[in-house]
Amino acid sequence: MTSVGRVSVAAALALELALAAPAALAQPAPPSGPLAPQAPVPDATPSDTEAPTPAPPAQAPLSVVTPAAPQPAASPDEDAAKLAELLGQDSTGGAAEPSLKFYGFADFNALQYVQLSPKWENTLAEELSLYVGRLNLYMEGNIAPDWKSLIEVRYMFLPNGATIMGTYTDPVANTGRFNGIAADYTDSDRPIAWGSISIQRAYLEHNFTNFLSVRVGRFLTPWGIWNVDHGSPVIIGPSKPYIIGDGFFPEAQTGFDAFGSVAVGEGTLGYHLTLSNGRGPTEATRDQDNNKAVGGRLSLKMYVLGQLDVGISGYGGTVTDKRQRVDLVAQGLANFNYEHYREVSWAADVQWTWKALHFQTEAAFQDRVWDNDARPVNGAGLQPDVRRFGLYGLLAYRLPWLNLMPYTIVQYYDTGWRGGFGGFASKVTGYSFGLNVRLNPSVVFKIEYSLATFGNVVAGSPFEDTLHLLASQLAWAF
Amino acid sequence: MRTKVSGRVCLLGAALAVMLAMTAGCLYNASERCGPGEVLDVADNCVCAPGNVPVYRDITVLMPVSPAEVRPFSSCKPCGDHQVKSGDKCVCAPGFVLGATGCMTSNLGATCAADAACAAGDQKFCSLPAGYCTTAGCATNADCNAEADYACATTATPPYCKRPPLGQGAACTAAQGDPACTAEAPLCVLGGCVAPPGCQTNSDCSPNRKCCDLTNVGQPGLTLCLAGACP
Repeated sequence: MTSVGRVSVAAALALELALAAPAALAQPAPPSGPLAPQAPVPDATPSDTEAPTPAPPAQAPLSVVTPAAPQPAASPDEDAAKLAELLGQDSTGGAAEPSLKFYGFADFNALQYVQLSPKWENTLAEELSLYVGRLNLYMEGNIAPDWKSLIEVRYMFLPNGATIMGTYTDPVANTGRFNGIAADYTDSDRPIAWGSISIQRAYLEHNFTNFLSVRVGRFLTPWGIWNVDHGSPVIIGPSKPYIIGDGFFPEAQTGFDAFGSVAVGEGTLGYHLTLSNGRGPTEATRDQDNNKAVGGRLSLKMYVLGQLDVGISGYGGTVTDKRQRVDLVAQGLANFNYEHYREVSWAADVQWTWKALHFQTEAAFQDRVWDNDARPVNGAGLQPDVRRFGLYGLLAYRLPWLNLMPYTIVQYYDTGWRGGFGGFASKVTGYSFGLNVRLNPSVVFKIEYSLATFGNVVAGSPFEDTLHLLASQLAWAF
Repeated sequence: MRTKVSGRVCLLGAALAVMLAMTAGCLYNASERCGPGEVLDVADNCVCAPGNVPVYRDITVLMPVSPAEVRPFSSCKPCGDHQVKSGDKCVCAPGFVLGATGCMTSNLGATCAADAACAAGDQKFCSLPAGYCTTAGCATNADCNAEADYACATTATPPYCKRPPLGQGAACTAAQGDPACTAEAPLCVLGGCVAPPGCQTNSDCSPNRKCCDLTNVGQPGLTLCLAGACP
């Protein structure tokens, strides 16, 4: 990859970092927050923490109830009860009757880099950008007593407009962007931009006993706080912390997730055990190395000067990119491992809420070790083995007026190699200061200023200069 | 969904802990982040250590997307005795030629002003006016040192093994004026010094190179002697 290419990659990474730096502060509905149910859900279970994150609006969500029954106007108490039920996601309680619920979340964003240095100006867009970011829809079905289905899809404007690296060598022939434009046959073949969907989760869940439930299908990896609790309305800032989206663990897996919880004194001990295809280029549909990945999580909820949740998560597996080549001797095709590595990841998280004070931190590290005969090409060489580490800390306080919540976030990320930032830097430290305003139980406005400084920087690269970003977001549940 | 702690649950928790511990292992070794013979470059990529050349993986690429495509390698190996690195290959150092048991002492390419200066070595002929020792009387390229990329100059009198352009193949970065390139190979193309353009056929190049027409890559009428497949 040429230096220009690396700069472009780095710029994209920096952009993502800056996008993430702003928020990433999971905002579990604080007990004092307007989203909190009238009566706190006393016995949170692991299922609680992995339930769909968007808080449904106070109004009854669009729902299809089978058998169909007239829906009386919900009273405030009924609304609160429904909200508490949905937030609690008590999957083991067993539905009284089959039902199907639709709900989701979306967000609208404004983003702008400020005070871009001359080195950054050619690699980052400094224009103010407005966009709809996440648009996720949940379809939850209580199929039968102790049986539940959950499907979450994200609707996207992507890939249209997405940057394509390496096209700068011929800017006449290549726009440098993915052009998802098609002729609309329903409208005189006028151009129309098409989008896509991403299946975030699709699983069937069965509750066997009080301490054992099993999910099969595609599920969000149960690690930390923000990977599962990922809805925009419940995240304090405009986006999740950078490390949460950077693949320390697979964001989602396809396989099995056994989980449950038991009472320990006044607290609750929860666990998850997962078995899946693991990570890989085709992991959602095919395991290319027949080596299943295993993972797990232990969490403990305590009531010590407020509520304290601590958790540890682990994951291990192999990743294989199997390709085909021409075998000139055999005059046919042959499979070979183009890429193959082993990985082990660990993470720890702490969340403490005391009255209107909220503190949250997550830390993770990952080892990634390649087979020498299956390292991917990177730049002029090959990718090295990597140990990376990242953490963030969030402190927020819900003021007694206007549902205002000022907050601050500190992040640190050591990617373990300069390739983590396009070959120019390997570490980054971020600081964010923001304000979260819950306009109503379903609508949240956030504004945040962030800055990021890089470490282990190649002299002369843009990463020598600090990045400043101003981001705001209006997120809503529906 | 809560229940009291039981022995079964404790066993379950213990099983989880054991399973996670099993996945931990000592995978990462900070002192061995690359394969054998490799070191980290400034961008933290694994590249061959000085004096080492790549051992390419057995991946057949029939039509490279880009002529500059980096071929995956599995490790790097050091050059042997009396060998030096030339591009991604080990070749005999000046003063040595490839023999049955490796690089052997030779005066091939040694500077001379007359045949007498070459008489003591295995290469008896002094090619003038270039002034280097070589072999005369060849009939085809096969009679010359292939590893050193010598070609049989059959039209000369007498025919002799002609050396490749000095500096050809040396690693370079600047398109023109790179200090690694010489007057005989002044251009830097695809990371290596090449002879001036204008070849007509492969015979105009040293044996290990081909005359490539770069019209297809946006350089109409430009021909160069390049190693490997033409872009």
